[in-house]
Amino acid sequence: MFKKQVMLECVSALLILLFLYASLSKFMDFKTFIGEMNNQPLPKSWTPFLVWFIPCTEIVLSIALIFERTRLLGLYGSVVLMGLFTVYAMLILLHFFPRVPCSCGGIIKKLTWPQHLAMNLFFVALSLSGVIIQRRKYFNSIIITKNKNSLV
Amino acid sequence: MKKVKWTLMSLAVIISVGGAFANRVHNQSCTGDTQYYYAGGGYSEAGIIGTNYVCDSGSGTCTYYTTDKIHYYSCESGVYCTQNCLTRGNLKPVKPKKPVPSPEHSGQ
Repeated sequence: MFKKQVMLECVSALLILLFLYASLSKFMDFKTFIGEMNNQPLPKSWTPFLVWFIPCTEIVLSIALIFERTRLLGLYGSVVLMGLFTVYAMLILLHFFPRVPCSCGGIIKKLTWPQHLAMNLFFVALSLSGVIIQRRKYFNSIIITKNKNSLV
Repeated sequence: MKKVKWTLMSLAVIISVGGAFANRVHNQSCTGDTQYYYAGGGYSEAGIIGTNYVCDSGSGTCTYYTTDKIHYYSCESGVYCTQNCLTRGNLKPVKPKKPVPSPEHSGQ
């Protein structure tokens, strides 16, 4: 149980590290981030929404992952957000869009698109493992509470 | 357990905030400056990314920056592209859109 709890804390810490670093980097160099969003093969009308939605969601998820009560919600959110980034990287690699943008945007500018995809897949797997551990922990605590109540 | 939790959380927050600040200082000299592209043996102003040009995937330098207009340094990697961006599949250049007639030529 202790080992799993430590694992869950490590998973949450890694996700916080990723989301907080990514969102702060975007806000600190907001002009560049808008340019990077405009460089993507997405409709230009989405840019004003996405430049606020992505970093704000990342900050909200980081906060949710810190606290025990909101952690499961934060982990589900991480699976969805990282899943969306993974799907986008896959679509780029499959030439779904008319052009392949440079992979110079994003958190690690030196990574190529396949490397971006591998990193995203790793974090999707990490979030999923966190969801599994947290859910088991949550249901175990319900069973223990029920058993205690039935004994009384 | 609480000690382990708060140590890990504090570490994650400190590293991410510190990393973001360090990254900002490192990148400041490049993307904040006016961007130029190399064509025909000289450098020209690139304009606004996403509006005037895009950087496509590929090896090489997409845009450059300068501090003295004599020496140019690479900034964004990739391929500089305006209207001749390549399409998927057969890699055909995109047809440029028809220019909108200006008021003095519109006959009004």
